Amino acid sequence: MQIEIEVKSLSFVEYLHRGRIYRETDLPADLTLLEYLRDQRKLTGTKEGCASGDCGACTVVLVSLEQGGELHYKTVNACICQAAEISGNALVTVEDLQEETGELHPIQRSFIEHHSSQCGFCTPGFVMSAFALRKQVKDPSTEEVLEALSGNLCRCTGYRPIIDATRDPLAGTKDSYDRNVEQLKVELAGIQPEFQLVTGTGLSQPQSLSDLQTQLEHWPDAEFIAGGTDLCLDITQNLIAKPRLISLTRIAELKGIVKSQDGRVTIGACTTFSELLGFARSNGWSEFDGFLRRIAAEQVRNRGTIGGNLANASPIGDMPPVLLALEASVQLWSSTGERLLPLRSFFLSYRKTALNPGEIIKSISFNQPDSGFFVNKVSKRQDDDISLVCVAGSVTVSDGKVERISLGFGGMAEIPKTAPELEAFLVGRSITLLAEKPLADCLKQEFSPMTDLRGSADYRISVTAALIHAALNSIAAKAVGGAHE
Amino acid sequence: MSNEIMGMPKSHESAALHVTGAAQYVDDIPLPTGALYAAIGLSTISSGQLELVDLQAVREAEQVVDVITSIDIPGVKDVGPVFPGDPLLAEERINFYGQPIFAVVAETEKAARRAVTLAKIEFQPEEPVLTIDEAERQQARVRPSHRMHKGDASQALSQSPIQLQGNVSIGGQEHLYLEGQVSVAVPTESGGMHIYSSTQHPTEVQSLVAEVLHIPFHEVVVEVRRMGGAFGGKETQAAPWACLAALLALRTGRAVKLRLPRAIDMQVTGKRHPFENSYKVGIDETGRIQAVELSLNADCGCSPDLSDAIVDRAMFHADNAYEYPHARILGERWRTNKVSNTAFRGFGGPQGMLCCEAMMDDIARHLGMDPLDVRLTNLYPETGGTTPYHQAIDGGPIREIVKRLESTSDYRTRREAITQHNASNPRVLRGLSLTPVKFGISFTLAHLNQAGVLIHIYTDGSVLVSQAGTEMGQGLYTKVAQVVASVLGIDIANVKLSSTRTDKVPNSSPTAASSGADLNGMAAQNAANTLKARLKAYLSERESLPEESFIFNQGQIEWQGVCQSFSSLVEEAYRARVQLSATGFYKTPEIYYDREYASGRPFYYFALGAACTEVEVDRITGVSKVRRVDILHDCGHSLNPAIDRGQIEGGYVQGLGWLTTEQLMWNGEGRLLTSNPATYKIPAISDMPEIFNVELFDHPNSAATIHRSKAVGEPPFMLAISAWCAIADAVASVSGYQRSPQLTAPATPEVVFNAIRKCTKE
Repeated sequence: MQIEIEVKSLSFVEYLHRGRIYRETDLPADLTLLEYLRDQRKLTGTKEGCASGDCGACTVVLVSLEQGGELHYKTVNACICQAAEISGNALVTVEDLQEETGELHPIQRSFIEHHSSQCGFCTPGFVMSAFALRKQVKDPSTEEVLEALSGNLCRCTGYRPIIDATRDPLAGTKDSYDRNVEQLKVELAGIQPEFQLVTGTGLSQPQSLSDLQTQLEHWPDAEFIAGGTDLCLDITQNLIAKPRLISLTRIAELKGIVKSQDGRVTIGACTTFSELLGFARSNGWSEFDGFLRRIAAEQVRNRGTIGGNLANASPIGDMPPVLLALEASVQLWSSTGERLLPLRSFFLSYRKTALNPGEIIKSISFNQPDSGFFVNKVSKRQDDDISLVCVAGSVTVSDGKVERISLGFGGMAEIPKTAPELEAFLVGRSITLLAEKPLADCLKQEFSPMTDLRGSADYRISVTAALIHAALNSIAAKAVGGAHE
Repeated sequence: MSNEIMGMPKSHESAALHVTGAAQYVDDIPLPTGALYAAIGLSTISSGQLELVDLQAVREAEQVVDVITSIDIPGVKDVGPVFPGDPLLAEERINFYGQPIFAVVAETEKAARRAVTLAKIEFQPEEPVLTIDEAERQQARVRPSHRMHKGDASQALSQSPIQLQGNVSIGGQEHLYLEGQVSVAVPTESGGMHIYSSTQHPTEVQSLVAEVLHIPFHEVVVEVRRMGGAFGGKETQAAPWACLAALLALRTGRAVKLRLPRAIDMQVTGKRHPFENSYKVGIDETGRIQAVELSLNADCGCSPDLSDAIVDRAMFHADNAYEYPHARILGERWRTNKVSNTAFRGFGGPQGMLCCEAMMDDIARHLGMDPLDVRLTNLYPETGGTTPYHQAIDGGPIREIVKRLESTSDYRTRREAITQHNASNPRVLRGLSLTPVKFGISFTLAHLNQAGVLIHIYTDGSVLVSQAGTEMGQGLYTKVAQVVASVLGIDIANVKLSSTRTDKVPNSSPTAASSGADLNGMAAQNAANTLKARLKAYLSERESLPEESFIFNQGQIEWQGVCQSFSSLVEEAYRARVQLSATGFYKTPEIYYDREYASGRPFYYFALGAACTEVEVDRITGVSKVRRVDILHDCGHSLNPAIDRGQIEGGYVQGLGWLTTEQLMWNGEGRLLTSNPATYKIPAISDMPEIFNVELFDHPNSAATIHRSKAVGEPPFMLAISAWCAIADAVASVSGYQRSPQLTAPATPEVVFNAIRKCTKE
């Protein structure tokens, strides 16, 4: 008999589920959490509606132990989350909410009382989003409910009964998770993952840049994943196999947000949209906050990272226009060293960036948005939609004239772009005397946008000109108002 | 009947299963050992011939078990539901982009889907027909034209003091049921099939599977417990996947699941028909209509499917709630190289009605009147109205609904405030509109207006009901359970609805045309009454009392101060050899229609309603938002007000999506570009109106329906027309309400932006 000795990486993933530690070895890198739940664990309460992170039917909750020792409940779309990524978290699916006695969870009771389900297919996802919200926010406002549920589509109810059920005080009644907080903290502390070098295939999860360096020595050609909310579409929609992936999201050096004295903000590349949104709110950046709220939906904001959004280099990505307007720069890291690049020089051509093979974004620095900052995203739908155009600007107004301006555009070219000629045209102009037409003419000089499924080239130009015009007038009016104060 | 159950806001019978994730959909059913997974290979052109289909690499791919093309079909190769035109797999001719050409079955879903990509297919492409204009130029139709006449429209039009004309371009709509198309076929011992399908029409799936496999109908059982949404998209569109799964199961002898990935589902299944409609209307100076000529032009896609009936229904609703003294309505069924368009909530009605309501607005702006006054002027008269297809109609109830809503929504005060607001040249414009809905209830194909139910009472007193209707979220099972519990005087918890199966109730109609509760509710009532009569006869003999002496209520039977529990009675009746199983049947009375003369009474009654919507429109971007909606909707004497309210709110928001954010886009080759929810935007939670007042117009139906209720599935969809008209109203304000904006549907931000600019310039 021939004995085949296979050299295995022995990578394993540990997570908590229903008070038990699950240990899975060698999960394929491209196995989604949804496939894992439905096909391997036979937990079919979590549904596939789209397999692209757009409908929320597969929403599950991950509970993690945060820096301060607190529990954090966050929703994710299981269809665009790697199964291996749940390592170190407690997993909660719709099957887990009922009490051991069989009694329904308060949120489940509230959904029944408010007649919140019709066909029921989206319901598990909504229940999970509502569950996470009620764990994070004690008495949510309607706006907070809308924000938390904007990634869940329902085709039957028109949403009213779902909002009512989620807001109902009943839905906030204490449950077994509240009663077992301390135990859950202890259990989670016991399964915090350490770096394991993966030599075969699988998902590598370095915890530091030095781990990453070690992993790269074995896998110089591996693909990076930084949240994966777009990369996963390659797997689920284009059926591309991804046997080796390096997840960057656990690398300590890529996390954190710092604001310096001069108002320059530096964020780790693996800061999630949700983390940035929280920071924007606590700093009172209302315009920026309103924009972040319209990026994707909570499930995606919980996974997607700012660095991932930049490296992905989509011409309709949400962050590039804003960061271009805020004169961002990116700190790049590779095993051979680091370099600093203005974001203006980062996007080279369609979905191609200045990143070399094996190089990653380490951090992003940008000017703190002030009262001269504006951003507008136009899309068919307000929640969870991709920009038809996005225009952002940072402007200083003096005596009713543009003193300084930097602009960023999405959806206007094959890459996210600035508009140096338009900026030059605007500097020194009186805003009240500025008409929309020359703005549009300038934009036409600078851009040749596409007509596509989201909108026509003409609309892209016209609405962008109109938005800049309106924003300048509004900022100028504010500046005058400010001067009178 | 006991009033403690009928008319009560009972929870959806599956609510607890929905919220715990325990509710099983087809994809959740555990499969037998050895089950296989299928995937389909599609055309990448819209029109032309297949030149070469080389599936060698597909067959040789890892884990692939079988591959089939059209030649492998033993029986019928065309699965067209009414008329031929829908080949299960393409033979030589390609008629739309995404047309299925072959199917693969493999050990895993991933293997099957990956194997599909290995096919080498060559085409000889031809120039596709992708627009209604081009189809009209080529006179390409899937079915002949059809006309309705009332009086002499052209003469009355030419004699009218004022003549106006206009047109409305109306987009289609993707169903986007959250659960995509899926079927599982399990071979039986006798060469038959047990099919689990997410379908609104189990009987049609049964007959098509049998015909494709060339086996008798009684060898095929189709079972549907519930669908994760359907909206018309699973009336005819579920069958092909069941047929393919069945054929692959027959060939391999193993169970086969075929579940379409979302992007494929959206490409290969039909949608709501886009329409290009135009009108000519003659009016007097008060806005009263003298005559109307309408031309309704549907993009049917590549085959007839249900388009004949859908365009007919558009024609039936081109009057909405208004009397046309003279009318000529033309309905055209144009053929294009797109996936064949199909049933979708409203079934053509919304497209006919939207044209009518746009016309009302145009009349108002031409005369400088409030659009509501034009509508009130033209509503059907209190009594003695006649539709363009010569059905008698009394306009009293719809007038009462509109007038009451005018008052409860505070229309006149808000109209004044909005006009003032808009006059100040604000960035955010406001618009207001109040529109009625009158929707004809009955299948216009008369023989479909029938249903059967089978009820078993077991000796513990529990009751099992099998009926012909399917559950897609609309609450049919709940309403039928209410009916049965009410007749038998027992708690609703003792009544269970079994899954809908073709071996329990045969020869069923689709659950469509809002008819589910009307037909199955009545059939269930009949069956339950039969059982109750048998129990009463037994009691009457036992107690030597007349049958009327026995009252069935709250799980008890009472007579002369004596009481017996329902469960002990049935146990006893069983021992006395009383048959405890019965069928019930119902067919809608009084309906008839002569299509040749376009005349008759196609509808047993009309469901009515009205909505008043206020919107705001950002004049810089064209982005619109609904601020407030007030709805008064007529469910007759509601069977279940909670469920009916759900249909009203859900229908409104789905209609709002059709008219605002949901835009289907194709490229020049006829490929659908908006083939996933990332690019095709149905309403999300923030699109829900900020203020959403819904009231039921609680009047018993004058027609003898179950509990005097009215059908509620489709009619509320059309309440959303008020939102589209309100957007037009906001846009018209930039011209001081002098001009009618050129608004198309859906009114996306770009459409509204352009309409504002055009209205300002003119």
